[in-house]
Amino acid sequence: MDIISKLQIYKENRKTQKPDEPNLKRDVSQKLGGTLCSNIEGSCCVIENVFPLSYLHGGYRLGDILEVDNALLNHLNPEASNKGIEKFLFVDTETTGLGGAGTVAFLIGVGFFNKGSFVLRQYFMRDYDDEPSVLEELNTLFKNFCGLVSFNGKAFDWNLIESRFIFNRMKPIMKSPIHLDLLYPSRRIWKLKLESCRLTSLEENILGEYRVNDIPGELIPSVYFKFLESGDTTDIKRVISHNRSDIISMISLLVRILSIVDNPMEETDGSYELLGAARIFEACEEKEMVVRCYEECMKNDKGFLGETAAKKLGSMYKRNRDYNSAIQCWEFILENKSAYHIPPLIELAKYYEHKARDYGKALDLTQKALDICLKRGYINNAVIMELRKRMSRLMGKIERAKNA
Amino acid sequence: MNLEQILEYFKNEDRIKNNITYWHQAPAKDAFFEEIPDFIDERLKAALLKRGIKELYTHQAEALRRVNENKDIVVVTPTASGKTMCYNLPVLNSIIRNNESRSLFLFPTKALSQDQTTELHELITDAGVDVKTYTYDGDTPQAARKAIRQAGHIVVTNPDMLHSGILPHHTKWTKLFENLEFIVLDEVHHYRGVFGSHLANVLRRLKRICEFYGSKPKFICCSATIANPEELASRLTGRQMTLIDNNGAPTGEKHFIFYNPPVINKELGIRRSSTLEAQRFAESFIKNDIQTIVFTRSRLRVEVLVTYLKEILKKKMQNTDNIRGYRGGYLPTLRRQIEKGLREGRIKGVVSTSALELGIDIGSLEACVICGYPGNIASTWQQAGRSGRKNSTSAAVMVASSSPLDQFIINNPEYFFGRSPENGLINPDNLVILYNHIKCAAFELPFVDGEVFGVDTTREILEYMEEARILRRVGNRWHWMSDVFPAADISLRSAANENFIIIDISEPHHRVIGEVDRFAAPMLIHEEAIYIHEGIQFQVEKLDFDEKKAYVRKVDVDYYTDADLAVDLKVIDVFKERNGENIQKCSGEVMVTSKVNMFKKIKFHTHENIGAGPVNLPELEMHTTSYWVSLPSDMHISMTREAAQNGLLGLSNILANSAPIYLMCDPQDINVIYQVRSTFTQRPTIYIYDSYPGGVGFSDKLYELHSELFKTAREMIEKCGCEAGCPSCVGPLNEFSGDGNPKEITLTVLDMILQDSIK
Repeated sequence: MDIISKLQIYKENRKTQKPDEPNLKRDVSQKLGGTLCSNIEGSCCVIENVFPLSYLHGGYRLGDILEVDNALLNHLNPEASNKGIEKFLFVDTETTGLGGAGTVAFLIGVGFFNKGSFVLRQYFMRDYDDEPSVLEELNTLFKNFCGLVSFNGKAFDWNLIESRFIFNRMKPIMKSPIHLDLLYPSRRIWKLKLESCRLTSLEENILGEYRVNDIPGELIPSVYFKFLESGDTTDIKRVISHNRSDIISMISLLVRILSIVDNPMEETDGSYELLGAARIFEACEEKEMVVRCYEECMKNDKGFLGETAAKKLGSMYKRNRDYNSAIQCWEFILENKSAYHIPPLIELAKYYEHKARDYGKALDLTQKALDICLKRGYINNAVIMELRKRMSRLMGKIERAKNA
Repeated sequence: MNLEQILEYFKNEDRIKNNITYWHQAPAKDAFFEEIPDFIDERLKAALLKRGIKELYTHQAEALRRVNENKDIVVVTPTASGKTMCYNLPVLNSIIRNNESRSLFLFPTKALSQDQTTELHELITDAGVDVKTYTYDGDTPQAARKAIRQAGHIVVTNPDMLHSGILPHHTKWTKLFENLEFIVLDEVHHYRGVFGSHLANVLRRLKRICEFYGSKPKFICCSATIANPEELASRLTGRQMTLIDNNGAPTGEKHFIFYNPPVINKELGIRRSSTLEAQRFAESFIKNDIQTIVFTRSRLRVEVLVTYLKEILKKKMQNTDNIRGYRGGYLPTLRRQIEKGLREGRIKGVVSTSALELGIDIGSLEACVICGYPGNIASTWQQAGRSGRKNSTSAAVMVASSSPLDQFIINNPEYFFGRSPENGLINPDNLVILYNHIKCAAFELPFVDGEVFGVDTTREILEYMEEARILRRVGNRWHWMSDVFPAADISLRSAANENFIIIDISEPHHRVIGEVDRFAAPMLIHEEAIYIHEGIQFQVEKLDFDEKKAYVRKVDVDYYTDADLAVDLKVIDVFKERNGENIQKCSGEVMVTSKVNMFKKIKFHTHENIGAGPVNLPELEMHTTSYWVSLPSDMHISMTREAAQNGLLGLSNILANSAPIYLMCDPQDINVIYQVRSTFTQRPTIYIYDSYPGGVGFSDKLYELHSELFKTAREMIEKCGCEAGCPSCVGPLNEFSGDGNPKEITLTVLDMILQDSIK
């Protein structure tokens, strides 16, 4: 029995007869509205679009980003603070899978500000052998930039691009780019407010932009494989416009994030976004701003939001040994009816036991916490154990204090 | 009593000496030394000196010299002969000379990797050199991985991780692949059958990637004693190997005793239980403070034996915590704790499955009891080697069970001692395995026209994949064209890659106590099953098959459970076929479905059946290769239908035990079933199939062996002392129906086959 018949027993059935492959390569660029670009590594298709700075998207003009104070970039990456946004390349890739050496980025979109406009270039692999040429083009471009703006590009897109260079035994000119990865600040700001922090969710909920006829991300690999086989560019065009939208949205999103960190009191909704902004300030250790944001949250809301802010602020004060301020935060939580009381009670009890040495008050607080636990039906968990231990220790201390 | 006195007692005590079929005594052997070669760095020499090593054993020195001559080597010496030096020294030496040099260590299990890094770290510290050694496996924290990829001089891992975690991401490992100098493969004998066939392909992929990055690593392999270490290592690595087996390590005097439990029922041919006999030997060693290891063949028996031993020794020792079980399914921390206890001598007795046969460092014990022939010569020596000290006497006792294979070995010691151990068989070109790895390889790097991956038919396979739209050919290269990650779907060890976890819910705080692989789950952890762990009984209350979780609760009952496996087999394709006057032999593809329908409750000690219950679990499917023999369709006319069935049953039973002798595989690597009227051949048919998906070549070999196989089966039946049949030949009498003599009827059927012209 020959090997092919054997394989058929074990393996996936072969699909229908392979269609005659049209010689696509010649006219693909045209169909996609791009041009053919050649270099020492071969050729590939480049689609270029130039947007005026006045182009409106997500409530901003593209040019707005150029008016933002460059120093604000340090909230996203301290290395970026003295660089202008013109030195950054916006990047987004469309790939054939989720990673590993067999995944390729068949479409790499990049964008940059140049002479009063925004240039968006998309490098497309008409087939696998276009890859070296795409990378060579990128390399030429890389010379002019010091970093990348992306959405999850630090972990994914750049990683993949770097891996493709290695795979083709080429070296990227940009060695370790300064990443302005918008995924992380977006998560900090909007995680509590939104169910999902994917780019499309942010577009709809934060920027108010809705895509028409967008292609779902999980279909993209199969669209490319289908194109390779049939030469049909219909769905590839959708992928190209999807990629373009992603890059344009990054600009508006970046403006939005920077204006929030520039002026959180005015630019945020005063609640969840403000709490999120505080998390960004916390990450870059701008204490004053952290305090202002959290205090504002506590002012605006006595429920979950205010409590969360008070809890965060409380532990920050405690770390700085500012116990008076910390107590105020914990008591703020306790004044609240809906609050989850136990942690602040424990914090207060710790304070009165170890710092203020008011054992009576500490015992009261511990007792209160324990009562809540028991009312909630906790029986054997670590919190109760800890509380019981604290209680007996406090009683001992009170006893000894009496005898002394 | 000390060990010598106990052995003396065995020799003189009637109850024991009458049942000893063979007493092998190997004299003590002196050490042979050689100087440490000049090219070894002074710092390493100093580190060795610190440990009192001034010279090397001959095999160690030769290994160093051969490696220095750029040879790929395979070192074959017994347990505890200092094999690790054969690779640790050359690897460290080359890293000291060239800081860019990288090495990859592969061990078959995670446990072994842990062990080896510890030892390596000690040597590095003693030498005061800056060599970074890391284990990279499923347990390595994400945060540490990047540093390991960049900076690790020595990366210690296992084949599975190499396959799915390293090779598919080779672009992240450029430093390693560009500078890879040594690939160390320890425990090579372990890479047999399916696992070995997979590994050979993983190594093909590894070599391909090294070539891409411009390195050509050398292989240093180590193996326990097998018949064909050179051949196995060279089939695995695809390189010519230099064999090093001039063992220079000393050993003390060693006794190897073959013990056959006495017959207690002559008609039924039933012998005293090997478990109980093994327990007696273990008991007499342990109670005299002799550190002992007991090997049994199943996880269940480990637990049964630990329970028995603890019970008996409770009277004599205050503390029975120093008797432990050890088997797959125990969690890693518990295993580490037991290994440590053994090394430090705190644990006096350990009952283990073959899990401890591997080179896990547990020190050298004084006595070893093997309960049941482990199925092949190499494993037996490996297990017996667990006892054996450099300068004092040690002993190993093998207790035979009543299985035909055990009886054959115990009564033919010349077979065991006279013959070299088995061949390690692998089939790297098993089409299922090869095909899967070509997929992985294509994912890692595009194939180029003319490239050969193991087989000359590589191109045909690539073309097939192109037609299946997995690959795309552009110019002279074949690119991966799929969004799946192929390595994720391929497990190197079995068809199933997911384990079931076992959760103890006796206490309010639930905890995971063990795990069971997918194929064993229906047998071991169906609802109501008694699962024994560390000698404690648990009953399975709920089995969540989809979530792969079994919830168990502690119980105290006087029985254990045993599940019945119902197997069905369908022929898919015939590869080879020959027809004689009356019989037909074939080999081909089959689909085996198995399902557990019921279980029995079996009382401890008496082993009576005290109840049963249903099991409701989905059936499992396996695609594999098989060899089969069909008898005349009118066979049941010349004898009664009942007789025909008895004959087929008897023949199946004996074949299950005679086939492994030729195949040099474990009895559980093959399965035998019969069909009185096969739906495929329309004739009475006996099938012997590989227990692994796709098969590893056993059925092909059986097709060739055909008549030898049946001749041996006939001999085994004739030589058996029973009257009508017993577990040692055609099977226990209670399995047969009606009157008639099962032994005779089996011989009649056998002769039908032997008298045919097909050989």
